[in-house]
Amino acid sequence: MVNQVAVRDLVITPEARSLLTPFRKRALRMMFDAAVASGGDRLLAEAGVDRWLAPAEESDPELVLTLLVDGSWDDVREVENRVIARATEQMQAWSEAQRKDYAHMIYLSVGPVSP
Amino acid sequence: MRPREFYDYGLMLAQTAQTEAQQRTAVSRLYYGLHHEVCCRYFRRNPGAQMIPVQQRHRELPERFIATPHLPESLRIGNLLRDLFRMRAECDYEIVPPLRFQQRSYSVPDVLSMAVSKAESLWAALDSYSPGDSPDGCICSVAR
Repeated sequence: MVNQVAVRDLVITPEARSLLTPFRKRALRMMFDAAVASGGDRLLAEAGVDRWLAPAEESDPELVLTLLVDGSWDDVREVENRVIARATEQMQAWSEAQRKDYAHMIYLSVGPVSP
Repeated sequence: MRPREFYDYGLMLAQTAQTEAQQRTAVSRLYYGLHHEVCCRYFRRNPGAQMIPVQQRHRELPERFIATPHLPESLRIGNLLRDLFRMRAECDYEIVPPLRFQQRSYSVPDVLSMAVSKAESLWAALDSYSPGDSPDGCICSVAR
């Protein structure tokens, strides 16, 4: 059972913390803030940053920003659309190196609290 | 064959699956159908793009979409493809449930349900990115 508490802050696991650079932290914060602005109290459970090593092939660790929405798949897509729109807008101002850093390391995963 | 055939087979399995093996296989077919479809449409839209080494295809293909700065569809495609890859890996490698996804534990039917929703979203995003299914004999420009 998911703890039904609205997200108020971005939770970063200790393991993920070691992967953060100031730029990555800003990028994650930007996406998280966009999700809170669009999801409001429907954004439940923790929004965490996690480390994931792909089991099927060699891969660097990745930062995973997971956002769970208490609602239908339409609600999930609405939050996802807002976050993606904000990220797309912000990326216009990023350097090529920042975009590659973001694409290589940061992964956004949005889903429902109950499948 | 067309990548769509893997995808359609995955949907058919998802609708008719009666065993856990069938449910897990449905997730795998959905992912591989979309992996190939995404790759084919990427190179159709970017015919001069550098080839992707075969050992890095599952990681690098979504990264190429996420690194594209001006298209919301690209970000969506990259993230959804990674989600599906992760679900596929759980279904194929974690024989004993629960499966882990989005930092939580799920049953196999729950993962399948999420995979179908995400697969449908990804296919819709692909139709905005580069309309039209990839044809029979589509060659995805991945180094072999």
